[in-house]
Amino acid sequence: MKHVLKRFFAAVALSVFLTMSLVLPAQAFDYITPMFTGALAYLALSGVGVPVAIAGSIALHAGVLAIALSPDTTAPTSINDAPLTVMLATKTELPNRPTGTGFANYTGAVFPSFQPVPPSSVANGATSNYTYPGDNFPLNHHDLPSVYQNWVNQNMCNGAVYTVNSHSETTTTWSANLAVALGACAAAPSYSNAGAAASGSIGYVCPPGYTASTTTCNVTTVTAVQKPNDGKKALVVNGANFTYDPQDSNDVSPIVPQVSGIGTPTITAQDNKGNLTSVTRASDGSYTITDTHANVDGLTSTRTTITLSPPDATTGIPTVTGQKQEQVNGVGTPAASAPATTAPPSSGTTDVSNLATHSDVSAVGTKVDSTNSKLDTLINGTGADVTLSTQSTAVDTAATAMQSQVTAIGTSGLDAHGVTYTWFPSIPTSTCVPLSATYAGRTVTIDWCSTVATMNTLIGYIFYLLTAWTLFNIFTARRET
Amino acid sequence: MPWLIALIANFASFVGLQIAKKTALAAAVIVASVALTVALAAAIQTLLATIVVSIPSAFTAAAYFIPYNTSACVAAVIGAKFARFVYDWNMKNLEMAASIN
Repeated sequence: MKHVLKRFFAAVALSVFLTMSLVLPAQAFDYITPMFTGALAYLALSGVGVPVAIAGSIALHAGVLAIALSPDTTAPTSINDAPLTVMLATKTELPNRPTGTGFANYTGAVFPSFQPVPPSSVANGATSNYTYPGDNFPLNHHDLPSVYQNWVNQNMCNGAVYTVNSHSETTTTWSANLAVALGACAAAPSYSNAGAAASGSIGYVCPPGYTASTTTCNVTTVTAVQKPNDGKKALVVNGANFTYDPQDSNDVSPIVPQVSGIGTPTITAQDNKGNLTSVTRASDGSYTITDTHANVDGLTSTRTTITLSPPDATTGIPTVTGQKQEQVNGVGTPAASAPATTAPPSSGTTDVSNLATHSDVSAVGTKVDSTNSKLDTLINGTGADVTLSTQSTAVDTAATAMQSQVTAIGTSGLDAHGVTYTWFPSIPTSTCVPLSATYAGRTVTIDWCSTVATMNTLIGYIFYLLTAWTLFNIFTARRET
Repeated sequence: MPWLIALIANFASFVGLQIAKKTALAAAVIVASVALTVALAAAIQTLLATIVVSIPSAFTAAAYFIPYNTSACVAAVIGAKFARFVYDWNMKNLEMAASIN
């Protein structure tokens, strides 16, 4: 708006300036001429003033016009988690030296043996006599000699009760448990039934590897001595293969690692997480240990391979000869057995000729048909309380209403929606009259109206151009946000 | 499958209700916009009508220099500015109707 006002004021100012510049000198000449006609004749100045004044005015006005029109510029808990311990350093004693009562005299292993040395002798017990049926039958292990009680308590019979299944004058049959237990850890108990079943006895028998000598059992075969229960099952290298420790068979409910390959040169243990440990003994006595543990991502495993030399003949200690660590696919034995590579897809053809006749496939087909039927009901509205077609019509109706709302705005053109603006400024008008003034007793009249009319027409044209330019700018102006 | 039928139908119903709500909001916004603009125009013109102007008689001769088409030019400019205002206003109404969600 300021540009419009500026141009209007500039045009009005130009109008006044042009009128004053053109009309007054001309009128002054007209006024002066009758007064100084004679003098002008003398001075030969007639007609000189007008051309000079007009030429000067036009030059000045051209400069003004040029300015006016210039454009704008802007950890482990169960048997499955039991650790696997394999003692490969043959000089090292197996970690299960007996510590129970009566076995405190065990001493450390003497190389090259890795087994602890049992006591050279143990005390023999007295024969326990009992009277049948006067004694407390069924017999339990408390009736045994104290030393033998310890043996039974520590090794296999803790809390167990043994009974006489049958009894005759010559034969007494014990329950299977007692027979097996005692048979496993000692020689069969002696039992005498002389007489009319009135008395009996169980004689103390030395443990395996010991031989009775009156009241003492002396070691005769060290490798036959059985170590007492410690709850652990040891593995040793027996010849070329891995076996359970032959001197460690007395464990009651031992925690046995999930080991496969017993009796072969390779043993493999796996915990319940799928972690895998295997040990392989080569024919030259060297070992390869492979450990595969699942990574935290649950998708891959880390496989560590360690190779050991055969145990040194003097020290019994092997030497690490190599170590490798690699990433493998999957977790657990089957999945992690393959290296971290992707197998190419199979290009075989599957026979599907009998697939459609399978009962499961048929059942699936029936369900799909049912689903299709219900979807058809939903879409087409047949027999349904609430149908998609009904809702679709409602959506269409709502969308059409919204479209009409928007269209009404768009097609209204310059509809002002009742907004009007009728105020326009009042432009003063008047009719031109000649200028009249009295000077020195003489009335001077300057009739400038014809010139004012001419200039009015000229300035009116300039107004027209300014208005056209202003309207064009209004049309092309950037819309205010 | 009844749950699926109900789900799809309810979703369609939801869409329809959303569009209907949008339509109602657009209509309400435009009505409010018209009311505000009419009141503003009336207030401004009322203010202008209270202004009294006159030109001293000594300056009557100055009116000689005002071109004959001055009133027409002024009216054309004011009319064009008002038309542009209405255009901008309607474009704004379109934007409001389209942006309601």
